Amino acid sequence: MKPELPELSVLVIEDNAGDYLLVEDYLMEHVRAPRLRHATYFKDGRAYLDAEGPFDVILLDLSLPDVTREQLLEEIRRISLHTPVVILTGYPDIDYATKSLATGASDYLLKDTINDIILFKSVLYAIERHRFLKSLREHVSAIEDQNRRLREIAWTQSHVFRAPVARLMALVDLLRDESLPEAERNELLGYVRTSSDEIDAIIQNIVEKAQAIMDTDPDNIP
Amino acid sequence: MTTHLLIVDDDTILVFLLRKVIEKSGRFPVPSTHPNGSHALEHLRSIYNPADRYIILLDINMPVMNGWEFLSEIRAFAKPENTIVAIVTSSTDRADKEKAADDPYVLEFLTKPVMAEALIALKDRIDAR
Repeated sequence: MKPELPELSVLVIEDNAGDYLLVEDYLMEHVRAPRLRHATYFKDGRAYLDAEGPFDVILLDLSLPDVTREQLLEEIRRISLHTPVVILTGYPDIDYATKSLATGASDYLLKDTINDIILFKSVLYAIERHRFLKSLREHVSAIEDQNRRLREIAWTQSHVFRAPVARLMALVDLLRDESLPEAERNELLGYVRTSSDEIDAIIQNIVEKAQAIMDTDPDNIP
Repeated sequence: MTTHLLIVDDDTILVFLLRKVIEKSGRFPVPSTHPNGSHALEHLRSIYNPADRYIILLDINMPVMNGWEFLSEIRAFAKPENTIVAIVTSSTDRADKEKAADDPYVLEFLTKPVMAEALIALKDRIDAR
């Protein structure tokens, strides 16, 4: 049984009409209802992206008439953040194709060696890997967020929590003096009360922050 | 040479306690107290005289103007030779300590609660300069 997908949206940016027809044929072999868009110029591809929203995958020819190689690598870097990009290229451009992998392309295919199976497999891999990387990125950002909140708690311990504790230490030291007049002793005891109330409020605040972190345990993030 | 003492801290209970300890130590003049850096800066600027000596007990975390801002503002007119700052903070943060060590005005980093012994040691160090 040949591998098949019910549907797939593909943007092909390819200036050679023959190469495009081949790609189209190969895709039709494995996708029952593909949504195919063909752009000859990079700017048209860009327009499709803006007008029709996300595609499942972009097949991108490396030599296009309206962009330089440097520009294209930069575009790949940006586009591959939200859509997987598979490069179509010929033997002469193989070094350049390798470079594109470093800037975010999922894979490159040599036009002379493509067949329907190779193309389909590459597209499928690109989509799956992209999905996996996306969930990984979300996971990392959830952990970063949690770290930020843990740092806040650490900061509170060091800068806020210690203030009333230091006060209590000094107050107790003064209260040890047995010759202290009654009125002054009462004043100091009032400060002891204020300081312990403050400590209580700070602890409540830390407990709430810690609880919020527990509620967003990264293990529970999809 | 007249010595002036300034307490810069927004925690009123702590200022009260610090005044008690200063009194107990018997080694300092009566302090002026300031709830933030800006208040202390205005006071220092108005009384500053190169022939006098200023000891400043400075908290770090304060509203309006914090201790670091205060330290950068006094550079405009005060000399480190006669303006001596002791950071007095409840923070046990190592980064704060390292930052304080690099400042030309800061002689000491005191962690609250400041006891009489620590103040006496500070005064001895200042007098020995």
